[in-house]
Amino acid sequence: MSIINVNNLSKTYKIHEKQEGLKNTIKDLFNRKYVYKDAVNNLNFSIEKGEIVGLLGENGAGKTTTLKMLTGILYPTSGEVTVLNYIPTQRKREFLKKIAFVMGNKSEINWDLPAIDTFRYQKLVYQVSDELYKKNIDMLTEMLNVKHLLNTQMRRLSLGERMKMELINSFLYSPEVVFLDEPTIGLDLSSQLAIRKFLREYRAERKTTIIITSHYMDDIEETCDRVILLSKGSKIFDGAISEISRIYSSNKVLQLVFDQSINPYEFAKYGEILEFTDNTLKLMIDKEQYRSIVTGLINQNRNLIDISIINVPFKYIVNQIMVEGRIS
Amino acid sequence: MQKYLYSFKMHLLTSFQYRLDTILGLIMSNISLFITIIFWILIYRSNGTGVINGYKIADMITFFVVSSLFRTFILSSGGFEISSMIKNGDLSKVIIKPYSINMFLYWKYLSNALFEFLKQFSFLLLITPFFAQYLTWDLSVHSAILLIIYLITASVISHLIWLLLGMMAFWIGQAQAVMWSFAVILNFLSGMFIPLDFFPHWSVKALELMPFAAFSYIPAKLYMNQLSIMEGTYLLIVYIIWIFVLMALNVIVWRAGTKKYSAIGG
Ligand SMILES: Nc1ncnc2c1ncn2[C@@H]1O[C@H](COP(=O)(O)OP(=O)(O)OP(=O)(O)O)[C@@H](O)[C@H]1O
Ligand SMILES: [Mg+2]
Repeated sequence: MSIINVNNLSKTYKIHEKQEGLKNTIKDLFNRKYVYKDAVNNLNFSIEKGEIVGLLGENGAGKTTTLKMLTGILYPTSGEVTVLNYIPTQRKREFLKKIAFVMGNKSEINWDLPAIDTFRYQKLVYQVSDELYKKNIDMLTEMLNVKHLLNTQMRRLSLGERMKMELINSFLYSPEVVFLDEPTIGLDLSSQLAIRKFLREYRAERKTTIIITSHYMDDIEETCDRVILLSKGSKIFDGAISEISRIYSSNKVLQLVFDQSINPYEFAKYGEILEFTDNTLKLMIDKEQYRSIVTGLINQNRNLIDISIINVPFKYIVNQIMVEGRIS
Repeated sequence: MQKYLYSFKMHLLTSFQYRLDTILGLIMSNISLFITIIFWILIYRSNGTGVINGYKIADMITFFVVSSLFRTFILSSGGFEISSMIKNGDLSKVIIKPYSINMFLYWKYLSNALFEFLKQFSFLLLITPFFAQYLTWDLSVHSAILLIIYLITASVISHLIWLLLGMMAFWIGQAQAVMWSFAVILNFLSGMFIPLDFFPHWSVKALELMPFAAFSYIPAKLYMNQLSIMEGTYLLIVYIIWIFVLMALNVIVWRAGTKKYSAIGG
């Protein structure tokens, strides 16, 4: 039995179209014009216990809308959702105690008080036993390295530290399913790394089911087992991370560094140019031709000072799938 | 229950931390009370009889002083908070908490009210010497107990009414303007401007049965011993019935509203 089941799920927002000017505003009162926006279209998927799934898609693809339906904030326009065998929109207390929804851009914690006060309150709201509370706080603050900040007023913490507190606040009651909507938005690299590491370790320890959205592909690649790609509200890909890497397994990427400016298009004959700067170039080539291309490059370019060979980057593959599968 | 009490405590603490108003702030917030009192003193002076509609000047001033004190238990902020949460999408965070939003807001604003009450009360004690001659002081233990029950009832009723008004935001987005207009009507019907028994006799009876009378008019009358314990208890039962009606309405409106909720933001 899957933990999450989504069947033909759709959401259409009904938006009241506002007209400009007083006259039109008054007209509006009597004759309301609506526009409809299909945010999620006929979505189907299921998620097993303990999976970490990345929900990807461009801005406006419908990720947040999907998460809001999975958590019971929004009623679907049509289709069914079950999470842990509950219908989310019924918002049963037992259900709400088992899920957590962290929104990267909405703080839950009182800014005027130290985080620890909010945690104590959270403990009461979620009826966490003293024992579990203590165990979880110790473990979480240790993992995220914020123990020394528990008694600092929230408004004095940095963005990254606050995000860590938000995570603790949500993991505090050992939820069975956690939804993370852009948990690393706006964070610097070290905070991003800390959060990814935390998610990996936490999952390894607790087998919690986690759904995460992010525009940082490294977040997804380093934490998820599986990705679901959305485009304009529809699913265009659903598969394991390993499956994604396999798509381009016959290709490799050469990272070239030169000691002077180059014209990248001179290298187009070897393969596809992924990225370039003034004196660097990322070139995707056929794995089979790797030897001949490298020898050719070295022989013909005196100013080539460094070559490294890597697998096709995850974010490039995801982007390719998006481009090919994009629904117009 | 414990969780609501904890939030009660948290809000009380924050109030103490941030809302220690100066004497000036208190004077400002009582300006309308002062104006009303001066207004009535002038009326009584020019009238000359000393009694208007059965109210001596001391009764009238007592009425306004105590009702302004009791009015701190009219909890309208919960309604305003829920309407702004609906509008800006912050409701999303609370809707998925395993608690009742109504209760959460009730305890939060009750703690505010209590704080406000204590502040107002001490302020009144401070300035009373200046117009003590105009006040009546005579409260039996029974009336005092009934009064406390009344204040609690008033806080619950007002909270429920304002939540209902606040939830209009599910449908009309900008509920605040409508809410402010309602506030004027509610204030009027609760006897904020003129005691309700200044209205024609038949309407007084009807107005007393309305839940708004419980906000300040009836408690003030009780304080002034112008309402027997019997009458007070009878009306209390009526208001408690109102609580159930309002609770049912809240459930219905909440269900319908959250179906329409579009969770802006995020
Ligand atoms: N409350 C709302 N009312 C009306 N339309 C909305 C609402 N929320 C989202 N939309 C629209 O629905 C579509 C999907 O939005 P959603 O927030 O789910 O996208 P997203 O994938 O989370 O995007 P992002 O990466 O920018 O966060 C967008 O076109 C958006 O304009
Ligand atoms: Mg989003």
